[in-house]
Amino acid sequence: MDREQIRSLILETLAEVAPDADLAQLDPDSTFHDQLGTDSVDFLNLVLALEQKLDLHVPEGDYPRLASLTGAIDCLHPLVQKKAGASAS
Amino acid sequence: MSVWDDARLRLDGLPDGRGLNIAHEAVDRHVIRGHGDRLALRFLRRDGSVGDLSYRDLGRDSSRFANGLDALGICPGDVVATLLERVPELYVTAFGTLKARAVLCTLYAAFGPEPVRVRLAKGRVKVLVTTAAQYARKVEPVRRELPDLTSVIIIDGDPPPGTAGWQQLMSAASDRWSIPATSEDDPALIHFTSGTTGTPKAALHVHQAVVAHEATAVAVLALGPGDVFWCTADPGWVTGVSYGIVAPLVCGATGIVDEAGFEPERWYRILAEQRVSVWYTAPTAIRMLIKAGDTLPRRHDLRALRVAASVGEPLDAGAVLWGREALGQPFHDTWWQTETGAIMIANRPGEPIRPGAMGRPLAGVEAAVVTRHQDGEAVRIEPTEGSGELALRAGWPSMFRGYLGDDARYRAAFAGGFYLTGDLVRRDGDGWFWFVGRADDVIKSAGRLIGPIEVESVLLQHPAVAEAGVIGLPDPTVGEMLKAFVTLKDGIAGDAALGRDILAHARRRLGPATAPREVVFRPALPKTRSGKIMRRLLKARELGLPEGDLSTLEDEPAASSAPPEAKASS
Repeated sequence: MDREQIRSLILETLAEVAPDADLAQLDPDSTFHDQLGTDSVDFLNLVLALEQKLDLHVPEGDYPRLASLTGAIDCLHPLVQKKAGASAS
Repeated sequence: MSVWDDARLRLDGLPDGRGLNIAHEAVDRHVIRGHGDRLALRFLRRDGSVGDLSYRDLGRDSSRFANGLDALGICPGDVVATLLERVPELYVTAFGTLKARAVLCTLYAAFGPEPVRVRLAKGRVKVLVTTAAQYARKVEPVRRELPDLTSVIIIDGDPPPGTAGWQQLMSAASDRWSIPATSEDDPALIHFTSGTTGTPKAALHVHQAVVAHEATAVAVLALGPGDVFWCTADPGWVTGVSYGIVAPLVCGATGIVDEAGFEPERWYRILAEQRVSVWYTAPTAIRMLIKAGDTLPRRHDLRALRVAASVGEPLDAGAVLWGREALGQPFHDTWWQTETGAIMIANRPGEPIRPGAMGRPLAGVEAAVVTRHQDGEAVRIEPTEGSGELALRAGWPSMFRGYLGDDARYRAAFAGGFYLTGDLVRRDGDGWFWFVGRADDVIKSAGRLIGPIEVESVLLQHPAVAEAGVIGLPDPTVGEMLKAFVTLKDGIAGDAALGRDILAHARRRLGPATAPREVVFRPALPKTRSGKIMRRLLKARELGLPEGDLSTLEDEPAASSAPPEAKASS
């Protein structure tokens, strides 16, 4: 899974958690909360859904990185790579 | 001696015996006593910068705002509302309003347009202090439906037509204001809270409440001058007013205000860098911190922390003890509600904690476990063994004095000299109280009470929805998560896209905190013969619990077979 696919997955999941959000205008570098008015429960639901879909665990210390689109891709991409590497070997 | 009597000895009263006013006790008296330079509030902005207000600053700015209200023609008893995030103007407005003997009503800034409109109308709000963006989105479109709203004050940017600017109001006003004589029973605060039926209730509190704010801050939070106190609740809810605005300042402490939202790393940094000595937070936040792991707290110096307490919903024993391990202080669970205005039952610092229990009543609070009987219009109560409804002997200082415009509902909240809380509890042999559940259909999510009717009526505004029932399902983090069950109008098929559209509609109208997180479609909803949706049954079926007494259930052929479920979100 490449960065673009991860990006699509995040946006798709965000649209499930916060279907009222206008994702077309999303600035990838500022937080979902500041732009979309999502709350901390939305954030938690987003993280849990992404973990489930990607079948991986995000270390809790990395949660803040998931607060923006770019941050989330940067955080998830290596985790996905690592997991793919582990299952291939 | 009750904690109320103790508190009265520590309060000053207005000069020359002119009565009791919350703003004087919280702000002006400290300046009179020579502590004007002491830090009253420290604002931690999102960008990492800090804004400080001393007691003198807060005294002067709130006097300016009181003069500003006077210039607007606001009279004692008129309602001044805020629709603001945690910014200094909110706190200045709060004390300025109380100084002018007007009534403060803080609205949660994340509410959508519908809850805002309902509350502005029901509170008969005369003055609203808000931002240009909030005004444009939530108030301006319905301004014509709010005849009582005579003034809107915008704190940022150019005030749009029909509003006034905060800067102009404040710069034209004197910073000297003598608080007029204030009776202990003069109205001071309105807090909205949700019931099972009808619109939200506007609970009214009087200036005497400050006796309870002070008493409980000392008895339960052990607050005093020199303490750095952080109440994480938003001032849009009662905890954020009683303990986020009033109580710490009455005690001469410094209040920390975090303008950003929850974020584990940031929160630990605040505790450490601000040397927070007393911390009052909520189970949802504590559970999120537990989830974030034990390495984060170990990286921060939390030794300044002397007391940690929790409120909003029952805190499980594991979380209480986690506090001791991870933060060096166990959490003291406390119980109270909007109507009580201040803490009534608590695990108190310096006494053994009973993890998982609400605590014991404070000295001066008489708590009973009762069964409610409906005798026609009247309600009768009798003491009960085992679990029953928690009832409090009426008459404590911060007891609510009415529901605005709802006298019948107010009267129905009392029986036999007791206030009936709607919370089911159990008292153990040692006098500790344990929370069992709610006596009604009110949902408690992230520490907030949500009335199902308010949510259902917004769902019904969606063109595809025929009927809606909303319940709270147990959730490990937020207590209860809102789930909506809807039936669709004839000829409309439910699919994932429609489910999302309904969710989006609800979130836009209600805001994320009050909207359902999940919508499912059902061919029919269980109803009583009189047509009321049986939420209790929806919930029992969802959780696989016994369905209880179904004698009032109407026949529901469609729902008796396994219903197809279209899930709109996970």
